[in-house]
Amino acid sequence: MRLTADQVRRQADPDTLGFASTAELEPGELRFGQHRAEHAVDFAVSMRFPGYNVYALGAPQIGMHDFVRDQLAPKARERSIPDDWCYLNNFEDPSVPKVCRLPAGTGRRFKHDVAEFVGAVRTSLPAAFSSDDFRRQAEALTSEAQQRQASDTAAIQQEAESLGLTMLPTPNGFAFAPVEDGKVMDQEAFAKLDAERRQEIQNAIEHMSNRLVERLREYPKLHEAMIRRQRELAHRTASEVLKSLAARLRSRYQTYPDAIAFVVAAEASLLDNAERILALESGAAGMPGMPVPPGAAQAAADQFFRQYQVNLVVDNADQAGAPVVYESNPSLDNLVGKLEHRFEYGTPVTDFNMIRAGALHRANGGYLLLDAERLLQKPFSWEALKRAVADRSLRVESVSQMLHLAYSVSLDPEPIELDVKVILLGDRRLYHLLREYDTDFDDLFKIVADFDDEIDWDDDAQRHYAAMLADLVRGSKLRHLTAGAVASALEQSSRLVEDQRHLSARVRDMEDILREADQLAAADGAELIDARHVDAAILQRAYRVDRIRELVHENITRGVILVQTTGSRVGQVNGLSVAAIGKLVFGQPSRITATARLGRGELIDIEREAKLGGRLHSKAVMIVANFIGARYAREHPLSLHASLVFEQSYGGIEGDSATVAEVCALLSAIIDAPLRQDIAITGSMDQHGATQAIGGVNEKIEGFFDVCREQGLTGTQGVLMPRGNMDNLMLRQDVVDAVAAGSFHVHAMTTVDDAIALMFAPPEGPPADVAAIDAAVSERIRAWHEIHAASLRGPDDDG
Amino acid sequence: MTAEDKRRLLVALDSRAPDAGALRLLARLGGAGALELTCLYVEDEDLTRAAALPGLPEISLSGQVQTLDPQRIAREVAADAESARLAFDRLAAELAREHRALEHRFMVARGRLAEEFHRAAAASDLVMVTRALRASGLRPRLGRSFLGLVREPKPVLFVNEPWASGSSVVVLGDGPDTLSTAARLAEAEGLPLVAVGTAGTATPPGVRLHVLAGVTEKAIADACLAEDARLLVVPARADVDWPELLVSLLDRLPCSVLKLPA
Repeated sequence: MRLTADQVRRQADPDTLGFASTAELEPGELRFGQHRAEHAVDFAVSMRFPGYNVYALGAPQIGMHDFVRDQLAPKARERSIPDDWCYLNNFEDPSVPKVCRLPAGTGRRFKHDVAEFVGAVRTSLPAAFSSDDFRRQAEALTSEAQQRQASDTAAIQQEAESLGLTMLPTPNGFAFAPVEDGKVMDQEAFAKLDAERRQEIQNAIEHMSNRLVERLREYPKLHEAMIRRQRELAHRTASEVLKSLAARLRSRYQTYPDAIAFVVAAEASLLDNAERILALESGAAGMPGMPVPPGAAQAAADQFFRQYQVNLVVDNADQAGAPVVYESNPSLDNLVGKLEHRFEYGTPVTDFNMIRAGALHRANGGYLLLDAERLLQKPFSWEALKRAVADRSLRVESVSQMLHLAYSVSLDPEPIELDVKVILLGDRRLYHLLREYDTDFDDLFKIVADFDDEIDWDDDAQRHYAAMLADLVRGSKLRHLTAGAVASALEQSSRLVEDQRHLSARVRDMEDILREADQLAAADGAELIDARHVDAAILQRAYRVDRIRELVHENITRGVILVQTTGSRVGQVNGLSVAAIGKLVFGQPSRITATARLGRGELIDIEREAKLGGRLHSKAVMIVANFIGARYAREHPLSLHASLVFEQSYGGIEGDSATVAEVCALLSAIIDAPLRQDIAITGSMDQHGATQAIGGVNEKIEGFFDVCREQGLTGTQGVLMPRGNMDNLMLRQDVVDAVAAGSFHVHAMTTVDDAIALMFAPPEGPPADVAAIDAAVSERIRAWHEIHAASLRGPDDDG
Repeated sequence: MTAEDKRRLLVALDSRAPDAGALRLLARLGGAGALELTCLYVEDEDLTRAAALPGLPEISLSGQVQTLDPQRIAREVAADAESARLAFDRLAAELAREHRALEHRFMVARGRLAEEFHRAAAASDLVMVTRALRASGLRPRLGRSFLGLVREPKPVLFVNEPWASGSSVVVLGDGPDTLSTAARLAEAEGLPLVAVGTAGTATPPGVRLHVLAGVTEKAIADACLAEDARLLVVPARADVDWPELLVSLLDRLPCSVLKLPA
């Protein structure tokens, strides 16, 4: 069956698109054609049970990320805004910071209110302690002790004077000394006194010393009592100040137990530290007697008050609905948060203020999108994610904690309740590896959103595709596309998947082509990207990687690689193969030759014998052998020795697309009938001779077309391919043009008979008589059998 | 500038260096002109004599008893004087930065405390006497020994440490010069001025009167306590035995006292 130009490429008609350029199109919906994946995500989102997280699998170029975000956005908007999360000091055990959950927006207010409260404490407490009222009360307490001491001193001094002594201050305390003429008696005068008088004086001194010692030993208790009463006064004063200042916080946050617990604990801590606060605020916090560097007092005070701050790790005040978070760098820190450190005297220290939120914190109450491969590349991230999702609890962990390096653990913050849907974006290979090697995977990621590489090419898809291109050019700030350019893009998309009924879902590939086309349009001075810019961009892409193909084809043209595209030959046929080298994929003809002679039913696959043939190719050759035997030697042994080879092939041969060609070559060799060399064959075949579709049909046809064109198009040349590949035809425009002009042909076959009829016929003549060829083959094989049988009987039998 | 232009200020140390705030107040009392600031440390002759007596006990502030040793006392007194000198030099240097025309010196004299103070005060225009508070809160009643100073016809500032306690400046008397001086000091200290006196005592606008039943030692002391005084400003008065009243107050009051001449 010879195909028409319309059949070898599906053309998109710009006139049916309904617009002149994409500038006319409203921003389109990014999601189309992925119904299965969309359903899966919808289902996962609606499930309230744990484990219904999603693994979205598909090629990266599909743009799953944008697709999923676009799908989640309206759902997220409908959901309530998640709560804010704060970390607060645990005054009982600072190494286990407390977590505080507050309604969205309340966290920010709470942080502000607490800061205001602490600021007020810093000014009000010193003010209260320096107030006249407080000072008067404190002075009254000390005056009692002072009065007591003053009267004691007076009494002791009076008594000492009555005994002829004076009370002298000394560097270390006091001493009593005898007085003479208003002065302390000198040594000489004292020595002159009689013994009795000296003894009297010494007795008086001893008596007064004992009196003084008695008094002095009472003073510490007196002093202690005074200090205790002063402290009680200070405590009462501070308590009243704090109670008054905290009243607003207590009232405002009374319905939030975590917040109130913190306020109560902070108030108690501030009360306990009232003396320290006064010292800090007066700048007297340094070591006694040591000079305080400039700013050090302020720094010390600020450092002290850090414990009363609110570390708002998740602030949803500006959030609308549930969050949809994408973390492009899912390291452990970025995922579960981290503990930052600062260095004090060379030692790393941390506190609850240095807890930083991760993507899971930000996504809590919503959705988190992660690239599976990047996640797995980051040490410990996968384990941490699994643990958080499985426990529904988020704990800030450092690598050292995960490795149980206890020496570096400094904080163990309370975990945060976690309610998040995780959507992993990854390819199929990774999905299957995770399922195979991670026993937790299926439990945690119960939903698979399987993204198709292809989408149906119908009117609806065409409309969406055009809208998507409009979005792409807007997003990338490119020129808009004419309807013709969109048509070209549609055809290219279809060609990418080799299917007239489908478009490629790999929109990223198209994005690159549009950028390159835009560049060409710019060079052209065009306002819009036209079809020629798109086509040129596609051709230039091909040209940039085309060096190897050109080299191969040049060798064919120069006769280094022998490919005959005219005339006919016995036992030789043009097969077609596809070479893939990096981004370059191209088709090229290969001479397949066959020999046949009398033998014992062996069909030698020389490629296999030379260990150049793959397993699929060997299977195909075995199919050929069985097909020949079943079709031509049903009633006697196949007395044939034949061989098949891909000439000038020095690499490996794989695949079964040469099966039909090999049958033709073999039949030609058996009956010595020539085969057409202007037709190349591609197609696999079953044991009954029914042809089957193969891959790379477009590249194969184009490869043979290129060789024929270089050697000169005769008007009879073409390619014979399986009918099952007709939908895969999206040939290059120059090939389509040649088909339309009748200078090149594409034939479709259903069975091997179609191939025999075409290949054994003269180029310009009618199809060959398949029955006659079959008869000839049967006859030749029977003849070989008889010769073989006779040789087995020996000369006596003949006689 | 001649020596006559200078105001001579004497700081008579009890033991330690004066409080910076008190010293600054003294300089302010000295006026804006050139000042000659002399700090006098007295090695108490009575103490030296007492130390020489055989086996005299010294009672420490914690109630411990040890024998007064003349060599140890000499060492400790010298160390005390040196420490006071260093501290005074530092404070005076600071003051000199604020008050450029200020000269200062530190002197050590040996003799009886009150007599040496009195002798030095005779050659001064303005005197400050510091009275350190012992750690136990016990302060020797030295008021009577200052009787001579009290009788001097010049201002004497008796500083009871710590200087910065108290929240008012209290003035006894209604003379315009006294009130003016007290108001200036209250402003400098940032404290309110309260007048104390018998009913009917005239006070300037804005100054509250704390009424006394009579001008007695107890009434004045109670008023200073009630007003949480930092400083009591008192002029010499003729209506009572003023020097006797003042030395009694010095023994009794926890606050500092500025005696102004009649």
